[in-house]
Amino acid sequence: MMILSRIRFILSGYLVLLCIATQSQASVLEDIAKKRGLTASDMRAALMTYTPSGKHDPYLMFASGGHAGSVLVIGLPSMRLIKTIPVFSPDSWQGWGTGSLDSKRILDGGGKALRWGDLHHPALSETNGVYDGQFLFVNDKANARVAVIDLRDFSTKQILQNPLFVNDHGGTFVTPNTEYIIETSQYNVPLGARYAPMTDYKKKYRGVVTFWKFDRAQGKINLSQSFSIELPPYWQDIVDLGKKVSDGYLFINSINTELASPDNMNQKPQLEMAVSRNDMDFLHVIDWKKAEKVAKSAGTQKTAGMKLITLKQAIQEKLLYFIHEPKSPHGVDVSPDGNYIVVSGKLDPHVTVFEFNKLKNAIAQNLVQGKDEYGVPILKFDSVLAAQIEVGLGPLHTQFDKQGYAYTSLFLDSAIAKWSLGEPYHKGNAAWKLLDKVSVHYNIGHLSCVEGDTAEPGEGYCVSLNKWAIDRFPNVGPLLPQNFQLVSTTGSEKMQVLYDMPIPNAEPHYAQIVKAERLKPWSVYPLGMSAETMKPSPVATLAGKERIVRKGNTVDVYMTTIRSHLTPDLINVKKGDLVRIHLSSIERALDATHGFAISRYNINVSLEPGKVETVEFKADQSGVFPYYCTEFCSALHLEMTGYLVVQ
Amino acid sequence: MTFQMLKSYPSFYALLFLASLILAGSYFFPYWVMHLKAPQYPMGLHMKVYLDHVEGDVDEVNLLNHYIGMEKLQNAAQWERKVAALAVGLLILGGLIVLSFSKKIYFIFYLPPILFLIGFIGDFTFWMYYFGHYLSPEAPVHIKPFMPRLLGAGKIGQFHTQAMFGVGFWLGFLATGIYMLAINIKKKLLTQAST
Repeated sequence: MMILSRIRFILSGYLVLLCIATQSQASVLEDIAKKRGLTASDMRAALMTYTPSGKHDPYLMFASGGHAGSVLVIGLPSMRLIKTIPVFSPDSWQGWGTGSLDSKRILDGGGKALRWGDLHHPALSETNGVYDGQFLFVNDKANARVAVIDLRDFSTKQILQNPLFVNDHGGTFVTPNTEYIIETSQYNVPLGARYAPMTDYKKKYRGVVTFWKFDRAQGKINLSQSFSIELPPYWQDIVDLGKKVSDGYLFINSINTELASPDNMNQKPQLEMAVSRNDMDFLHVIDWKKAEKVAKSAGTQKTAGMKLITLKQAIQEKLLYFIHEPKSPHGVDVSPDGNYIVVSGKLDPHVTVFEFNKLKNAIAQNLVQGKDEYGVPILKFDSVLAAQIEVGLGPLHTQFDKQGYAYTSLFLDSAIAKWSLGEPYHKGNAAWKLLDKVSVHYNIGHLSCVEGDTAEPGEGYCVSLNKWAIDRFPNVGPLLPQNFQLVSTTGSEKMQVLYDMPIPNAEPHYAQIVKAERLKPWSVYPLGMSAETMKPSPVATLAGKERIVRKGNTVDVYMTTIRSHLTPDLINVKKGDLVRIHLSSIERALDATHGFAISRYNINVSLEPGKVETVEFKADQSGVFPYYCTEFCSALHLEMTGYLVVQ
Repeated sequence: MTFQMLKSYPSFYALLFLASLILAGSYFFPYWVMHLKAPQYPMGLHMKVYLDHVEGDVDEVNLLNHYIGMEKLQNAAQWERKVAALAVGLLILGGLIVLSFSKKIYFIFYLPPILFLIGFIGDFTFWMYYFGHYLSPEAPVHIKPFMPRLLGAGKIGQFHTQAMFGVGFWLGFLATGIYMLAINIKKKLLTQAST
């Protein structure tokens, strides 16, 4: 008994101590909150986002870098920027377009004169409608280009120019198994990017949807197996692919069904008025699996080097149908089960939902209500409609979660609306209902929810991609950053803005959030690897094999980099020589990256462990030019240098 | 060695084969391991020394060592590594043949496996000494010649090291023990047979 009471005494003492400890901890937290003016919901937001040093985010967001021409990789929920991937624009840190021959070849593939892009919609590669973490595709609205990024090393491998048009918006989107990457024209021009006067707009100008064939084994787009379909010269806008029940179909929004063309110096109305007059525009419905067969058949002609199904053929073969969609449409998003197609018009407060099963029936029974002036059949609106839900002003894009809720961005309201889908997700009164709205700051464009555009969406978070920041951050002059806001969307709780992340880069458009575990990137390159080809490089050099080879006026230098020396560290050439320095990083340690810069020669490249790069230049300035490592690699980094002597 | 002999000394042969098997197996495991830890290596660097080669973060360790002028690890014990397989093979074969046919157990029979392990430790210590004492004077970082720790914790610069015998060594140790046991059994059987 004595012992027992003794133990009880000790235990209660311990409990008291514990209470004092936690109490003082709580009061410390209260003090901090008071000092910083934080409310209880602020503290909740902090707890939901704070990620201690060394802990990794469970999600990664690939956000377009807009007209900075890059992709941003951001961790969620911490909203930490982890990487930028240069695509269309040079980046001196990564040696992208700043002297490396490898990156120059890729950039030149998209046009020798082009050194920036307006990157809009990143699309992760998919298998069965779910992100597989292997590739990322992006488009350049400014020049109608698409690019392939390999997610083994998070770097760009290919840039291609569309031969048929010069400006796109509906790119890039992938078919559920990434057979094709979709790109659609926006500000249309005559086919093949040729000349025709503006007065011939209706007759000679055309819209196009391109199906870029992706060769997964090669990690590249195959131009010869790609094809396009000619469309009327409406402004095709954004795209989504059917999945599951609607696999094989493609949906494209369009504006300017008025077929307006500009000339506001000669009494023509301002374009933004002229292209927005109609109350209804056309949702394009395309049977792409059928189109693929037509493209493979012998009859398809090539235009500007690409197989093209003409508009006439598309109508004849029943590849293309229209459905009316309300005012100034911008978003088209297919529900995870593939059965609902959600469209929203910027100037209509509803989201309009079509049902794929009804759509298929309407096509089968030919329930049409006329044709457009190019002869494309228009399906009866009522025969395909599932629901219209009033969500607020300026609805744009919609994403989904695993519980059958939809999240729609509202541009004019600066808000996100949460609403419920119909069967099988929600039945009876619970279906098609507006449930919650949260204010965002300000002018939301796209939103991105966890795997929210896939066949198996996640849950918990959406990110509001806001165009304006106005008062959210300290004044940094007239050019303000954009604002990414993390919003919690857990279960039936009210949505809450958790975090503001300034984006001082460019106007980002779309983003995709992927579970980090789906990605399997390399930590270092296999030794002697070319990042351009992702194969062993023919100019790789090992330690002890470094050499300088002169042939006529060409000097090939086979150089290795390893902490803390460049070998060779002296290169003698003559003015006018063509110098090619083949650089091999023979490092194997994680993060032991070197840079290679030559003074006054406008050269800097990045050499991650194992990577091989070539810099090529004409030694057109005589003198003595140091070269050195630009990444702080080691204690003797400053000593990692050499000289180029140009006689 | 005949079937008759196998039959007359079953436990002796079982143990002898077991010892041979374990010793042969030890060849495929590291005899010595070293873990290095430093602030910029949160996952540590790891080296495993086998009888005939070195595995692990050898290149990274070489790279670090070049700052203090130490030779590349591959340069150590080149001759020993070449004959290692032969030595283990001879030890096993020799043991099997001599012990099977010998009608008497001599004291010298106990020595080879013990000498093998002592030889390993001795040779290893010599190379540790050599690497710690013959540092290039051209190296950017001058440190006093030192004797790296054969076993236990040590510290060089920002590196904390932890060295220990590996699985291979302990297998060799176990094989030696079983070998001793086998000899003793045969010795006992021989004595019984002669009385």
